[in-house]
Amino acid sequence: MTLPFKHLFALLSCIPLAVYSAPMSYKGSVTTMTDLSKRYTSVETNYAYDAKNAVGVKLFHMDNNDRQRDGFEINHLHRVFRSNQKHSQMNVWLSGGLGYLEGSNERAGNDSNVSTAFISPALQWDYETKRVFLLASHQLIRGDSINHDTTKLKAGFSFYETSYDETQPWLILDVMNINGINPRPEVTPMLRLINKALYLEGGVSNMGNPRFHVMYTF
Amino acid sequence: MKKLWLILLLMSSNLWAVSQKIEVNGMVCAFCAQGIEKSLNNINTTKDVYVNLDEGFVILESQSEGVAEEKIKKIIVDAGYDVTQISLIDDTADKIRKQYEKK
Repeated sequence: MTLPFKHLFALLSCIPLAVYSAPMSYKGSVTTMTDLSKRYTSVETNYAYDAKNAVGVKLFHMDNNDRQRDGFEINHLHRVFRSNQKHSQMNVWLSGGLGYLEGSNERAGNDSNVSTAFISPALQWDYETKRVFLLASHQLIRGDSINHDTTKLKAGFSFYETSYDETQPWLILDVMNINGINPRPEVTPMLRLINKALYLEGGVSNMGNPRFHVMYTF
Repeated sequence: MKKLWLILLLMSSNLWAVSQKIEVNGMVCAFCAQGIEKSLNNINTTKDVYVNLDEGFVILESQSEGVAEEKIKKIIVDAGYDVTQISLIDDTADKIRKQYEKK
């Protein structure tokens, strides 16, 4: 990780985590999310300035031994659609980001450095009940000679329903692919624990890599 | 005499409290619902809030008079959910909380 990004990561890591199951929360809220894994690490914070829109900043690091990428972006998230039913919720989210990315391919024996602005539009669909969770998202990450388009699929179920104050355990199957970073889609069975403000996911992928996702709302 | 005043004061504070039952669509997990709880707690007359995920309702207990329905609806919609019904109820939020805890 290059020096300026190390400082930015350290700075964002000091922000109290405030996170959600959806990519944003209620009007006036601040949300911070973090993903930790061997190939992809990110820290993201956004502010919901109304019920459907949020602006945020994100830092990420990609690494597949052959190439590294460090990126910073500012983004805007918009909830395009929500269907609230008695026992379910469905959302469609659209986001757009603009950022700067740098990195290298030197460990592959190819001494080329990368440094480019990029755009990162994304579309996400999710559906959940008290027992079932489904999510599909696709994000383009495109810059000059860069394509790290990212696809995520998640599906899972909770072991049992809980009351508002209890911890609810879920089993989630997470499939993630980052073009140019993952040799093939990485599949991770994850245990998810939700207790009001705290949202944790952890598992080990089919490639033997641990993955963690933490969200906290305050 | 002091005890009597204290008892009267406690009784009167309960008499002035008003509880509203808000039926909410889309409230499927505690992680999302806590936005509703926080927003309702930010109303300065709020005494207690009870969220029931199982039945999909929230009890808002307020000091003095109840909160205007339009204000409640706006808070719930800003949290991302839909209100299907708001009604006044006699029980306190804590009494309903205890009823459901026993089940």
